[in-house]
Amino acid sequence: MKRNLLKGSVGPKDNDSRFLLDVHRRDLPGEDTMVRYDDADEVDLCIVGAGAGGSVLAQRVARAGWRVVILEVGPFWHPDEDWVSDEAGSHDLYWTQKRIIGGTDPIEMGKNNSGRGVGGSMVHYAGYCPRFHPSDFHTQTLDGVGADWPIAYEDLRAHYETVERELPVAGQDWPWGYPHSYPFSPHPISEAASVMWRGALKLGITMRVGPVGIVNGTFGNRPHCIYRGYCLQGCKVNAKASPYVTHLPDALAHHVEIRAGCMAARVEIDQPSGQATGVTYLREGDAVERLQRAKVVAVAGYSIETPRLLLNSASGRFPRGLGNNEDQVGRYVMVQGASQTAGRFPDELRMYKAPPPEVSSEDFYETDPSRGFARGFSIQTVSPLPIGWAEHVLADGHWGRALREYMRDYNHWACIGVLNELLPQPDNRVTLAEEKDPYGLPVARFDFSLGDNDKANIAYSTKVITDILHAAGAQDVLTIHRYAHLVGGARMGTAPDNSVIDADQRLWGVPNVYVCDGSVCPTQGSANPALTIMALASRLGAHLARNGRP
Amino acid sequence: MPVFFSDHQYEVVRAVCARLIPTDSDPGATEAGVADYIDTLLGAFSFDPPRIWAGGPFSGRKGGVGSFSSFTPLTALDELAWRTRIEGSQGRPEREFNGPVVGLQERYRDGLAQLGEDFTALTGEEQDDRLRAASDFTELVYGHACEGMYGAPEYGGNRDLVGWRYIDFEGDVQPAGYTDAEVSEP
Ligand SMILES: Cc1cc2nc3c(=O)[nH]c(=O)nc-3n(C[C@H](O)[C@H](O)[C@H](O)COP(=O)(O)OP(=O)(O)OC[C@H]3O[C@@H](n4cnc5c(N)ncnc54)[C@H](O)[C@@H]3O)c2cc1C
Ligand code: SF4
Repeated sequence: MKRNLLKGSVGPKDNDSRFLLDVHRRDLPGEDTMVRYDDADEVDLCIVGAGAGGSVLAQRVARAGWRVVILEVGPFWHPDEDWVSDEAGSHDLYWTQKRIIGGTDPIEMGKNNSGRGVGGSMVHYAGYCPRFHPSDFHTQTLDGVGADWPIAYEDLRAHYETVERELPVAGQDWPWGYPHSYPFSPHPISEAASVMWRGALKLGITMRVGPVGIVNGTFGNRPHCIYRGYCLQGCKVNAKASPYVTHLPDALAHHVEIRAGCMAARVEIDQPSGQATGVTYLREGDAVERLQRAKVVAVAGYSIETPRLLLNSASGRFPRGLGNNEDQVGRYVMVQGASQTAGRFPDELRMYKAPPPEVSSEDFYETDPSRGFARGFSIQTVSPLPIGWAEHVLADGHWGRALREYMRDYNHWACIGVLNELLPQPDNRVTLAEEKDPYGLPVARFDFSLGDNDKANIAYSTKVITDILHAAGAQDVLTIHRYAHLVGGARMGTAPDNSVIDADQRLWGVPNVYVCDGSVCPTQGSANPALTIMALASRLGAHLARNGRP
Repeated sequence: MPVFFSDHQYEVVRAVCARLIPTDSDPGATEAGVADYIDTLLGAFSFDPPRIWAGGPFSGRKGGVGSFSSFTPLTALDELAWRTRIEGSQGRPEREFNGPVVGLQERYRDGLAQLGEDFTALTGEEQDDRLRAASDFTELVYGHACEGMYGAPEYGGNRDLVGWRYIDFEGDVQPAGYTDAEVSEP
């Protein structure tokens, strides 16, 4: 079968989002017509957070007839008006409320790691959609580091395949991890990516185009990508996948209400039975506490906000925070090392003419004892727009005439980055700070320190990408160190003393509360997390739907 | 006419930006109006709607109806956050949810005072010394200067697109975009 003949015609069953989208408007169809529940209505499921995990879960159980309310602190977007193709004007897509940071390597929080609003962080994510490798689920057994998941790759495989059809993911056949193909053929690549690829080839490093959650062809009412490179500012074309276009249209057509501008404050527990009864929340600009009653609760606020909400939900049965009797909530939060190296080439490359994600390699993903550290990293091309590029140059300490020359040369530069698997550590954790947010809720504090294995991994990987640039013929090289992505904080495991949730993502000790977002991951691999978060949510949705409405 | 700075402060900001992005054979920060960008940011609330978010969807530079220049009204929470960021908390309880905040306006006033009344009269090297001594402030201005030079012109900088022209960047090309062939041909 010639895959690319199928361009535009492959699609998932049981998810009509792509057809529900309006060809002429980018608003979320259903915002005006969705069902609305009363606080006193006991819905089947109340989800906190309309991001990658929460949206997929809602869509799955809604298809099984469940009545669902999603509480989302951020707004509904109206992309035609709200998202500007302009680097400076996109700050309101990010989580801008205060978080306290600490540890020996404090992680800057903001645009680099968390979003806010209907659709969550994927609204402005870059679009890389790789799977985890089978080894990621057993790093403790295989390499003596990290943690074993209570589930295996096989438990997620079918969900990876379904979600890849739903986004849909475009890319070349994938030789790494569990080898697989993608539903859509690879996108054309810019000269900047080709140069990197040639450099990698000279060093014997394999690269592949993709995998990206960006339409190549047409997909229902979603058009082809126009390669304008503003993916991080929110795709105004609807070519890039995010729950806003991939799952929420279908969810809203099936008994789901999204209540935007609503901050969840606490999960309420009935003390005698230990069962959750619903979620207390506050509407924007209104100090009245409201309780949405629900038979089942799912927390999907991502790695900082999910632990914060659980810790803020202390009660008689759980004096240290919901599900925190063993002091596991908020621990093992991970970020990925994400150093970037840029190289200057004699020819014009124009890296902005393409989506930022283009080609990648997982040759270094698995442990190789000769490298002197456990686990590994992936390599991906990236393409900053001019302000991002100026920040890269400034971060390396240049200004005045030097900065000017770097900027004048913008079109001669190409950029390549890594994602390092940094290992989970108990003290890299979220706790509650003294300070309060505008709703009067204690804000999160996030402490992070790198371990020796992490430092060795970052140093080694930076050398590999620098070597690629030199092999590609770069005349000048500029490296910056940074971090990206978040996972962990409410991890799954085999027992309450090593985790927050069980293999079905249910909170230990509370029969009707689940966690469904990036915080559930015990390890992070060197893959960008969104696809895995969605696949996990799809698995949880299937599990809940199998048992019928609660 | 600056909306926030005094005429003298405005001249100092211009001089600072010119050290970051000097004019040479190409226009620099001065010609791009980077100081106007910063002045507009600090004085955003003297406009209605405040000049914080340009409207969408298109600039009109590559097709479509231009709508960047009609600014988007802020929600109540956005306004609170942006006023706190720009004007500072000024002891008002509703702005102190994260503790007291020194606003950008005050940071600019203090930073400019630290650079000295005579800043514009100094040589470039003397100016660089003062900038290095005031490194926190310098870092703040330089972040803003890059936005003013390379951001969309609707925010007050990048006048006549000089910031994009000299680096040969086409800017926002929505809705036209690029074809497959254009992507691969630099
Ligand atoms: C700039 C950037 C680039 C990225 N690039 C990639 C990439 O290329 N590939 C990739 O795989 N991943 C990428 N990511 C990461 C990816 O977007 C996230 O991992 C993923 O979206 C997380 O999903 P989630 O469901 O855990 O949380 P989110 O998608 O962040 O959703 C959480 C939602 O919960 C809401 N919320 C939180 N607390 C509350 C509360 N108390 N009450 C109500 N609502 C609440 C938030 O507002 C948010 O909308 C990127 C992220 C960023 C920021
Ligand atoms: S490059 Fe493609 S996917 Fe990215 S914002 Fe533009 S149209 Fe959307």
